[in-house]
Amino acid sequence: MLGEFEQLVLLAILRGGTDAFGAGIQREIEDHGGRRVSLGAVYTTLGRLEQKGLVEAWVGEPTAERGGRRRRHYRLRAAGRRELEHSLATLRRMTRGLTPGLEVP
Amino acid sequence: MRPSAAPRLAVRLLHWWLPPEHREYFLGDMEERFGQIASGEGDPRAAGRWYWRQTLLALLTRWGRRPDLAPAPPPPEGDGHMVAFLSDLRAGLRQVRRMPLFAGLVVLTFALGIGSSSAIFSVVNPVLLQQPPYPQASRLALLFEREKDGEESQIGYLTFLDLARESRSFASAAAMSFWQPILDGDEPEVLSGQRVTSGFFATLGVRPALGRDFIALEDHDGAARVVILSHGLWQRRFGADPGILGRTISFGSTGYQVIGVMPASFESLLSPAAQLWSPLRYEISHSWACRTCRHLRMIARLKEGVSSVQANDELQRISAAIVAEHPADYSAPGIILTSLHDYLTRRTRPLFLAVTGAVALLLLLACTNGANLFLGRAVDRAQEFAVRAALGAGRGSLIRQLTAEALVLALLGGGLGVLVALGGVELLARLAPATLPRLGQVRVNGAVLGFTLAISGLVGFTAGLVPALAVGRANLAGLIRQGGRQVIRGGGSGLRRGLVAGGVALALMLLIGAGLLMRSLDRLLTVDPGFDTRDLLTLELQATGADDAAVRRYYASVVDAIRAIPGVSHAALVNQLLLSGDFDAWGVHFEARPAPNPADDPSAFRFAVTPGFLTTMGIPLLSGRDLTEQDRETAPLVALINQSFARRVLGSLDPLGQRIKLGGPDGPWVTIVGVVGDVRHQGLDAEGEAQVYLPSSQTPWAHSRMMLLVRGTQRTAVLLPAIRSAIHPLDPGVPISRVALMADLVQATTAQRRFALVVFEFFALVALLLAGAGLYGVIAATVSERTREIGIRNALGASAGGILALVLRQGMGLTLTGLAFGLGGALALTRLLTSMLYGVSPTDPVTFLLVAVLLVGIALLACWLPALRALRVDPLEALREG
Repeated sequence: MLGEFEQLVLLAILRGGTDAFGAGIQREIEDHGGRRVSLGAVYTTLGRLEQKGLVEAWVGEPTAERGGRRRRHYRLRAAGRRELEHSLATLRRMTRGLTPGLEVP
Repeated sequence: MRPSAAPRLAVRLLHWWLPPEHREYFLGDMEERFGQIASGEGDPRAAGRWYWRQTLLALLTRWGRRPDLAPAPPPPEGDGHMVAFLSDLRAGLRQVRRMPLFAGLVVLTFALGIGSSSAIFSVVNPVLLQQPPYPQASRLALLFEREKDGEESQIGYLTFLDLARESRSFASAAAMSFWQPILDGDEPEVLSGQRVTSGFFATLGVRPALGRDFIALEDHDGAARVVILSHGLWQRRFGADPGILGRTISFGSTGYQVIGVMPASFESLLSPAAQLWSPLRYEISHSWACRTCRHLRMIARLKEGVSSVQANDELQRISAAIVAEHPADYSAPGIILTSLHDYLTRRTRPLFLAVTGAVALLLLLACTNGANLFLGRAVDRAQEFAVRAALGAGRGSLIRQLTAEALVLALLGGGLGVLVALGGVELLARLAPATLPRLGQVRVNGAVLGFTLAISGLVGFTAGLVPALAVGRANLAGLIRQGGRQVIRGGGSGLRRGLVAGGVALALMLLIGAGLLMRSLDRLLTVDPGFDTRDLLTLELQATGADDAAVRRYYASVVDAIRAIPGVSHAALVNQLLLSGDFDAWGVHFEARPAPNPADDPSAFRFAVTPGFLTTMGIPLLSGRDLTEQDRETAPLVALINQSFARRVLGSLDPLGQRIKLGGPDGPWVTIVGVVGDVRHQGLDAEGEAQVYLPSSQTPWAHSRMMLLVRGTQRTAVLLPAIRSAIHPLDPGVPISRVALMADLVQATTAQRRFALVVFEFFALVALLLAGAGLYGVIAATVSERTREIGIRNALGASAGGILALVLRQGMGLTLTGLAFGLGGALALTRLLTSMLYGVSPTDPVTFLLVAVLLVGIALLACWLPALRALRVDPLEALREG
């Protein structure tokens, strides 16, 4: 079972498409999740997900707006997708039949 | 071009904070977002705030595998300080793991200081600090008669009886003398024991474990002879037989009934070698019980509630009355009262005060070096402190954290120090002079561990607090604004230099102490003792003959038998051996220079010798003739006298033909027939002693105990089996003991000095190392701090010599400051060593100079490596870095 923040990070990676990276993920969560998170917290979670084998990272090209530094990109691995689906399904099952405010579609 | 760049300090903070593998993408992300926010919001300050918030949050969330750098939690209510302190201790432990090199250096420094202190403490505690192991030992005191010159003298039996009877201050009192019985058997053995009056054990407050104590009746000459054995002797010679009580054992053909065995825990401190005790059995009618027969020691236990001052006052009154009644028997009234503890420790006190002083200096130096290392660390960690301060850590918590870290290292050092102490104690016990009381009690025990813990705490606290206060003084708010390092450096470097100079000063003092002791020992070992110590074999015989004639016959046969051994060139007998601790001094009454009162006669060591003694020992005959076989019992009484004594008493009179009496005015006149060279008897440092030599055939009674001296034509030691087999058949009942080479005995007289020297040498070496390391540390740090400056100088064409001078000048400045203080300290402290020195003044300029030169040499070496690095500074590199 994934933690709540892990779910958010995995979802943010999915939303970011093929070139999700730390600051992008942070922005996704802030913009769409409506929640302020620190970059450090995002990377802590990414590190944990990577260790669990749920995401994989690769290194991109250096860019000028990054001061010539390279990005570290993330994408879900199959296990990550399965784990996310499993988590969300559990959530859905658990909320089914509850009051409308609590039900996850 | 972006409107503004990310806050520089925050970037550097993150850069320093993050492990290299995380730096690039994290900093990249930060910069990318910063740019987006700055251009999106149009407010560069908002982006800056964001950057700082992210930075601090990253630190807060402990990202980047530096969890311990999060701020300390605010102390909870109540005993929160303790809780916070414990968490600081845990943080300290983590620091240790993270900086193994720094921690190892500090722990090692502390371990040396703390371990050495503990080792010395484990010797000093039982030997010097603890009361003797008897109940209420502080009430025990020894009593001596006071001579006219204020010197103490042992006590005569009648004086002892008077004092014990008249004084109201004593709960009990006893007199004691030495006893050297021969335990008969297939292999006769000389035992060491004490003859004591019946109250001896009761006065000490100890009782036999088996059997009973002496009773008053057994003090009398006619009573049955009884003996109490030590636990050790009982085990060794009697197989710990519980049926020993009531058995009669034979000493020199006289039977003694065993009435008791002392407990194993009993320590015989008044006579460390004593294995058995028997009543003194003096009667007032005995000639050796007289008032001038001062050869007994008296011990007394003061009554509860009687102070030593009160007892002393009373004793002086009693003594005055006794002397008024018997004026001819005393040179002056007066009793010297010495507590047992003082009496037992007075010979080793100067030694241990010196050694304790040395170890205190070393400990101080370890503290100084520790504090110095911490201060260096604190400068390096300025940014960490800045962050902590930014996150709301107060001054107090920073001080607490640094102190806790130092404490952790000091406790680790203390743990390692215990190992150092264990090794040190072993070594000290092996080196310690045999005269050291309670050597058997020297070990690492609970008291020593407690001491180690206390010292560790003290050292950690001191070494941590000094840099912590320096950091605490720094303006923490300013730390962040100004980029960290400069602020602490300004406050800390003065202190650091002070600590280094202090270290040099301490090392100098220890080195000077070691130097003085070394030169003393050197001087002492080149002293001419007045006789030839090489290849001279000595051993003790104790004749068992029934009367004087038999004893003299026996010894005559011994000398003949030894001289008959091939390879023996000279052999002689003497009643006391030079430089071996033997002590037999008599008053000498000169016919030409009579003292008004016989008690004022000068005293001299009296040697009863066989003919050939002078040639065997190699003592020169200066005028007159040697003693010969013709000086028989019936011949006119003759004596030899040493030059210094003759000159001192007789002045310009020719000593030859002068007449003297020994041991008071009642004896027969003895004519001086020869003057011989001075020898040193009580110690190599004993100058101008008085010595008189008599033919052993003419002494009033035959000495049953004699030392045999043998000199061979080859190495004498190999003759020992032949000597033994020559002596044995003459009387198988005579034990041979104290076999030694004269040269070894001479060495043994310097044992105390050697001990002090080894301790000082070791400490001085460690101190030199620590001082050098401290100097190196501070110079290396300055060179790296001044890299930019040195680079510019290089770029501007400064010569290599100029750069070198720049670095060396600073190191030498510190060294010379340290030397100045150290010389001052040494001038003040070496006086404490005076009693350990010989032929060297405590302010010996040669030693001071040599040691200072040595220290300057080490300092140059310590500055050399950083100076070389300064020379290699690349100007471009240095400028770019700045």
